[in-house]
Amino acid sequence: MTGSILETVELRKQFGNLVANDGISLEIEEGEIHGIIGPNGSGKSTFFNTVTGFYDADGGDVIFDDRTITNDSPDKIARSGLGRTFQIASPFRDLTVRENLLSVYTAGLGSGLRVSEDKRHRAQDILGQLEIEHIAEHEASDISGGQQKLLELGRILMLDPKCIMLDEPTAGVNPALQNRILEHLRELNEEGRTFVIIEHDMSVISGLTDRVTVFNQGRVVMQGDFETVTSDERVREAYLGEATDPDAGLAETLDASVSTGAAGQATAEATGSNGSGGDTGTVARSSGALQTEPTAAPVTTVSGEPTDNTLVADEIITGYGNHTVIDGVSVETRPGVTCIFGPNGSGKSTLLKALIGAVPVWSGSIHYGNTDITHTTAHENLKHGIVMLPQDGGIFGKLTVKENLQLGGYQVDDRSVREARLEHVLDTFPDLEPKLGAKGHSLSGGQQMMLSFGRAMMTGADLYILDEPSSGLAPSLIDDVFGMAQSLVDQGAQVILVEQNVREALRIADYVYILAQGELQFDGPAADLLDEDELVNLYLGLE
Amino acid sequence: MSVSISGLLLVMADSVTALQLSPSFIRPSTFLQLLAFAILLGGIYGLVALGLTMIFGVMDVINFAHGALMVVGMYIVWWLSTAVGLNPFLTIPIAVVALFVLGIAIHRLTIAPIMDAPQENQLIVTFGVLLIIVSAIEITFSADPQSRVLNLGAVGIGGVALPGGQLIALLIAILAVVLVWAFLQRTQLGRAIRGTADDREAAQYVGINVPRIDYLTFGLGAALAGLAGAVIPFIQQIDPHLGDTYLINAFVIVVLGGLGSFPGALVGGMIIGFVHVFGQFFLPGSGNQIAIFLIFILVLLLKPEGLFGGGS
Repeated sequence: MTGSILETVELRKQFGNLVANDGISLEIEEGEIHGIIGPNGSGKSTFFNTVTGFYDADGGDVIFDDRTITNDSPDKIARSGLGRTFQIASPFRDLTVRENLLSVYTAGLGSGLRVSEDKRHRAQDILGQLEIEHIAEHEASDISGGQQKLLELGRILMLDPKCIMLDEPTAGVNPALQNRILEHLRELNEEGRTFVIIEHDMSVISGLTDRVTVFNQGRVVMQGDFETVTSDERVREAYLGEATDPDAGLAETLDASVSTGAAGQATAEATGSNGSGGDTGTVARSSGALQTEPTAAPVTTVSGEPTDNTLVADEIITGYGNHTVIDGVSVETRPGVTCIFGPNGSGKSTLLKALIGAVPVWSGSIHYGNTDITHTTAHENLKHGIVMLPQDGGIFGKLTVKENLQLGGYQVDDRSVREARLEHVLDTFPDLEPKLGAKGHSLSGGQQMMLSFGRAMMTGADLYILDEPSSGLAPSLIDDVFGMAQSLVDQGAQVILVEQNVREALRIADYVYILAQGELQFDGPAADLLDEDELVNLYLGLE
Repeated sequence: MSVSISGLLLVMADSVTALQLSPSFIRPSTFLQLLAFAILLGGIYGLVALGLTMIFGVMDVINFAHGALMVVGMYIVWWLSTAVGLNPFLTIPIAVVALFVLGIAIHRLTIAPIMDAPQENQLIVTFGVLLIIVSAIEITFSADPQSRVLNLGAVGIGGVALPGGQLIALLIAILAVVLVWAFLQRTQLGRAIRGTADDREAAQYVGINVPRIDYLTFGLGAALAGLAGAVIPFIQQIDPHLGDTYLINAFVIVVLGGLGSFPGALVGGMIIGFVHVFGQFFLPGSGNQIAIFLIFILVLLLKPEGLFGGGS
């Protein structure tokens, strides 16, 4: 039978001024596997936490199994048959796997004092069903991350729930075990259990779910089966960023980058070559797209004064703890802008940090020109001419604008060089001049980004690594940011750019890497990325 | 808690013959003397708290050994001037340099190897360092209080008599605060320390060698504690546990001024110095310490991020 087993009505949750869930109405049908996707910060985990009682809702209702459970306590909700797991598995580390299962508190004080035979049998059954019997007597801290995820699922099953909410059940799990987890989920689904799954790995979503709901900025964008959802323009916007002109599809954007990239010209206008696209035709025509005019982008050739150094990273493997984030990735810079795209959690920022030396590389090598920089740290790499602008700009909020810029010249001993560069920065960003005495945190978002660029320019680097410079900025400022990146190139520098606003970034991209699940999915000139469907598939890691 | 100030008041009684203790009436000269003590104690507190907050701000380490480092400064001055017979004022820079070196050694041996470990590990290690230092001093010099290094008599300024030792200590404290402030504000190295305290990750991207800044910060923090300690033997008796008293109030000051805030430490130090001295004079018993904690609670209620905290 079908019918809704879990329903939310206009569910709201906010933290201070941040509305994390802005009136979410969602119906989960009994027996389905329902996927929830959306960019980071779209409110998926908050939704889970509010539904399962970990957060108190600020409005709206949660109805489970025909009963209103809004703001019931988490343990009560769990016992009533709505189970959940967490993004990071947290078994009782000092207990064995079996003890973890037996520790589940089912009902009444009695079950807390004495473990019934029923319960032992149930634990035994679950160990068998999930194929973790062989590790039943191991302490939970000794088993792998993937096995911990299975154990967490097993603990929930002890409560015999009708509906299970899983928060990224396969994140950080190796592919073999990942497949096993998915098989178990299908099996349990066939037994009649309903699943709601948050997942970043689109191959999991596409292969497993009956229906998908897309969240963006705390709201439901749309609902439908996977193919319908991923081909919807609003969903693409949520992931790839908004195009400046809603009528200008990706094709035009790409055409624009084809002409700039292939002809080696950065033009102040968004131009489009004619339909044939890929050739080096420089016959610019008015594309009809909204014309964007970067603040400082004189018509200069990129090849005017390129740096002869290129950054070459070969087979990089790295991560945190024993969790591999980047698994054998090779990238290199080329004159102009090298873009690295990929969904959240694909390892982009980690890759950048490995390149700059802020995260140690486990294996592989990095060279800049003839210099081996595999194991050098960020401040040493700056001596070699590589600078990084961290996500959100990384300016010193408690220091004044001037002090920020002065620190940009920390490694420059020659005072006159520092002063000349300061002048150059203030020429480039005249808005900063009246703010020199102001504290960094008093600047607007756009000014902070200018300061971040300006501070990086003070270092005199010739390779700039930009980590999502447009994130958190008002849409009107996003163009300016790409204008700044472009002007770095015009001044002879190379740029590595990681961006969520894929469509906008493609306007200035010369070469593109696409990263998903810690591995390269695509690498080639921006001109090769002609088909948006292909881009979406690559981006979501479907190919 | 009243150890330090009862010391101060004793000194005061030495030179001020008719001390008016009635709260209802305060003579101008007494008021000026209290003012001088307040500034002096405020300066000492400011130096101790500044070192503590620098280490916390830059390294995210809560340094329990900070009071013990102060005690090392006290005993260096006391020992060099009494047992060795050096000019007491010459011993102050010696103490500062020695503490700078000691700070770097402590960081190298105990904290640097576990910088990546959870914060509580470093906290416990600094507590261990505290026990080692205090015990070492007890073993070497005994736990008995040691007398002041010298009595310079009274200096008359505009008809007000001030004990000489305190006057000089006052000048040293003010000079040190000004110098440290200028260093932090006006030099690239000072900016680098403040930048690292502000955003440790971003600091490396502008080319700052963050681990080296850690060494410098711990060394400077220890030197500031040493300087504050070095002034103490001029104004009161010392004992190996005297650092505890100052450390507790330094923690109050650091939170009062805003965790990791450098101006907060100095201003907070002054505030607590004034409350301590004037509270001691006007309030019975340990009333001054109660006043300090009342102000502390009030600030936490009205401005939980501290006087100079928050912002970014």
